[in-house]
Amino acid sequence: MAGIFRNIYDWLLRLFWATEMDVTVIGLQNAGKTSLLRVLAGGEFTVDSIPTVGFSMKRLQKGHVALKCWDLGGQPRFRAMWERYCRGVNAIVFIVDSADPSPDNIPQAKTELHSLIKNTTLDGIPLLVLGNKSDLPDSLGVDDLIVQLELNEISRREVSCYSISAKEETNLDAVIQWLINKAKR
Amino acid sequence: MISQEARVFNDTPLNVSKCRDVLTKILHTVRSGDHIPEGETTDLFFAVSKLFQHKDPNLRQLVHLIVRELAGITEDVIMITSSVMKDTVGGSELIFRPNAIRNLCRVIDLSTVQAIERSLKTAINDKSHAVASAGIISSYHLYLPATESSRRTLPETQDALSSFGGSSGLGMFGTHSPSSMPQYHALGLLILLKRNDRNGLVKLLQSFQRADLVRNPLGVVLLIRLAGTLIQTDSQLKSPLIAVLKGWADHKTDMISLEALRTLAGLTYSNQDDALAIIKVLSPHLQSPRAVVKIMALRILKLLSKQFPSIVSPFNRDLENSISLGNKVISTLAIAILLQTGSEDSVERLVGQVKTFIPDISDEFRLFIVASVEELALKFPKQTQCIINLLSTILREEGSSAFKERIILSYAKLIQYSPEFRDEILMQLCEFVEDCEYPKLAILVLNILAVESSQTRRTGPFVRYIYNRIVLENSNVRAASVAALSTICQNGGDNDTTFQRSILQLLTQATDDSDDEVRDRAITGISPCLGLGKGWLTPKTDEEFGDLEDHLTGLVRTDSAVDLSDWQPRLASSHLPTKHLETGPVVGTVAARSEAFSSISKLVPMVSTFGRVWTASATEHLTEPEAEYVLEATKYIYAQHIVLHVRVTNTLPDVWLRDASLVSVPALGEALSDHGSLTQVFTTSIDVLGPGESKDLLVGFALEEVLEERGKTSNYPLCKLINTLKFTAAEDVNDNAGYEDDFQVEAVALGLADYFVAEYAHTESWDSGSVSEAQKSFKSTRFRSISDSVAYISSNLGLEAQAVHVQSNQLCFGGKLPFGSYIDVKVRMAPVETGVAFQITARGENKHALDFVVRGFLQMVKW
Repeated sequence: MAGIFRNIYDWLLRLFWATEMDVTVIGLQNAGKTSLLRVLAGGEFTVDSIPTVGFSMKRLQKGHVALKCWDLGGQPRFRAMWERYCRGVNAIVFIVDSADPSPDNIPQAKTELHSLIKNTTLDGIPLLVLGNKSDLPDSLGVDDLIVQLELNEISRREVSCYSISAKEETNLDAVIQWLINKAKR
Repeated sequence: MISQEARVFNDTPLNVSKCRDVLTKILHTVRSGDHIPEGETTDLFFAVSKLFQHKDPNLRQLVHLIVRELAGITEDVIMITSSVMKDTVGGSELIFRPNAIRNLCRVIDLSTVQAIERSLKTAINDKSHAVASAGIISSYHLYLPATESSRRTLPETQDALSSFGGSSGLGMFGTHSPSSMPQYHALGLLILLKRNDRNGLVKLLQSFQRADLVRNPLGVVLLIRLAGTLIQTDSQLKSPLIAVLKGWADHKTDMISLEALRTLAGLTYSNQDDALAIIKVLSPHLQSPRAVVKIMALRILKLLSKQFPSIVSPFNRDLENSISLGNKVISTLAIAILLQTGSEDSVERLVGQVKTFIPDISDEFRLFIVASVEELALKFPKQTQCIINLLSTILREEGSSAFKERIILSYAKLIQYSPEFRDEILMQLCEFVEDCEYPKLAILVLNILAVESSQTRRTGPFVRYIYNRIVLENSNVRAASVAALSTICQNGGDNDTTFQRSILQLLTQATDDSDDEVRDRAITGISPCLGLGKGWLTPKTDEEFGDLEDHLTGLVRTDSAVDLSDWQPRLASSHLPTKHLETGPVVGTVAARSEAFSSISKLVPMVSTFGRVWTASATEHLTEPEAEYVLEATKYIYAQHIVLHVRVTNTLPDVWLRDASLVSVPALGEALSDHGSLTQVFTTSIDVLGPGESKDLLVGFALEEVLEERGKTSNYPLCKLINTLKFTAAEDVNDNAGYEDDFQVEAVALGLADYFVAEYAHTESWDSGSVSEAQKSFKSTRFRSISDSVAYISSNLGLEAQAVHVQSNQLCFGGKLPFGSYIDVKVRMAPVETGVAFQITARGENKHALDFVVRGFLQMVKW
């Protein structure tokens, strides 16, 4: 009986104003995917977090929009599986560690990103590139990121790039706003 | 189809009940063994993995069940690790928690295994029995891939074992309540973890042998099995553990009682009283109305009846009634027991019952019955007629090819052991082949006919049947028929030219056949019969085929005209009966060795006067394989001579051996040895043996002939031959200086096994005629049990399983020595304190040979 009422309630909710959307969060390991989602969900920022094995799902409620965020592991062995979890989502969020001094970091991120969005299954899905850890010294700015990741080369989809800090909660509102806009499409 | 339906998993919002429907369908498909292509399972797996986020607990549980099935057949299961781990924590009210814990070991890979150890330990200590069980099971499955991780859960598992042994008694009907399940699982894991630690196992068993400490009957069954293995590995534990097992045998739970009885029945007993005690406890189970219990009880009875056929007799009536009970398994077992223990006079009645019974049962039971019937025929040769009748009846029944093949093979065996029935059996096979629907079986029968029919009084009728196949059947069978005809033509044609001509006529007709293979075989069959290079196109053995092939390849390579006139089969002695003794690894094939022997023995003209080779032993190493000079020896036994064939390999890179020869002398003063009248008659030598070369040496011995009232025999030695390789070692081929050297190698033993060739034993010959007898009793501490000694004797003397009658601790077999007639041997065995006591009795016509067999047997067992 309770199930029936609940179903009716859900249905009413959906009918009038609730929207649900899927967002996939990817990026190299230690870019800050899990931390960002934790902060977005209203949790505390922690410096040490365990690497995600596989994927985990976080549900964010922002106003009338429910965001189902698929947080995928960033280690090399999981990267082959990113594409599967990006199919048919409303938006792909690609996070880069903009303060990682190692010379490989940005080129590798660029390769992974471009090889992912090359897949025809993901055509047209909006892409949000986030340069995380902007609070740290020597972090790359938005313009540098756009150039170094060759975001101008990407066609047939909407691409945005923000510089954020999950720790200092800089620019996070813009991220949420961008995502919610994609739900209204 | 399923992949299409799996699209509902991506719907927003999710329709839970529809998802559950689809998941159930997938589960059914996978569980019923339907194959899903790999790409599809991976797609499915990823679609399913997205459902982890859903809150509905029932849906989550289904997802876990699917993961369990798909984990083994998809790639990248590691993807869901964190999702599964999330589900393993939380209150025990979560229905999917045990499923998640059980899945942990399936999704994990070695790099992440340490992350789950904590989860496992927490789970094992959980109060809920389902969660604890799940944790233990997961740890159990981790044992192989990650032994250390599994080992670290040992203390928790031990706690679980005691904490779930709580007070609440057995459930209704003596079945177990699920709350004691962790005990079973914990015991399983503990036994696995301690499997290399025998003391630990003994301790585990001792601490839980009080029946009430382990509430779970499955757990007790595990303990019983553990006790069974411990008894076998350590004889000191035997008597205390048997007492414990007897306690469990009286347990009121059927499962425990039967398992204990089965373990007890599997042990070897010295006297019937122990067996009778088991039977006493077993008999209520035999009357049980529950089929499962009855089946198990019958199997235990069957086990016991092997050792003590007589103890079954009180149950004979029960068993016969059971046949008609309607439960096929029970009937089959009952019949098998009766067949196994039946006496000679009950055979006819049993056979009658089998006849009425066999049409009703399925094929796997039939195979079982045919095997028992065959055993019966070998045991009671007088009843062969009756059994042939039975086989012919059941051969006509509807049945699978496996069943019919089994019968045909039984026939083939019967021909071998009771040649007097050859004509009758072959005739029945002919009738069978007339309307045989399986080409494979028709070919099998034709092959048997080809070999056996020429030994019958009149081959003609069989030829008729075979020829019918050429007219009526498909090409495979036609080819086999043509081959059979040509074999018959060659075997029987020599004496009867009209007969041979008739067959040639038939073969000539077959040369017009529409099938290539049939025509080829017909022509191959005709050529030798017409006297075209008789012999050269019909290699008899595999080596000769190899030889012919080499010759032909040589011709092709040199591009010369095909001319086979100069090809001669190189072998004369290729049909040696060779025994395969377990004397260590043998290098090279038997064929290659006998080939080498025949070529080298031609160089010694004397060998050709020795007559036929009686047996050739397996090749044994006289040196370590990595020694400087490697020697391997083979013994060839002739009626009055022994030839030792030694192959010498020089492994040194820069030493040449000149004038190498083998000095072989009997060892003196060995206990139980008797070197008879061994005289060396010739020895060969190797002129030069270069680095890396292998060459052969022969040493020949003559034996003294002993004339007896009833025939002659030789004074066969039972001794060791001590061997020394003598040679001159040089650093160069042309270096004439060098130095003389001796190289001592292992001794070669000559024993009963080298002379005795086992043949099928006819039990009735034991009491027939006026024969001599020789007897001896002795003890040996070499064997732990009777079955050990039977295995040793059988493998040493090359006794076939069928030629051995093991009845009430008695081994009956027979065979021949190079001289003299058939010798019957009975060996009685009884377990004694320190080993096994033997009494060997040999009967035959030649007193000297009998004494030799008895002495040889004693030496074989004692050495």
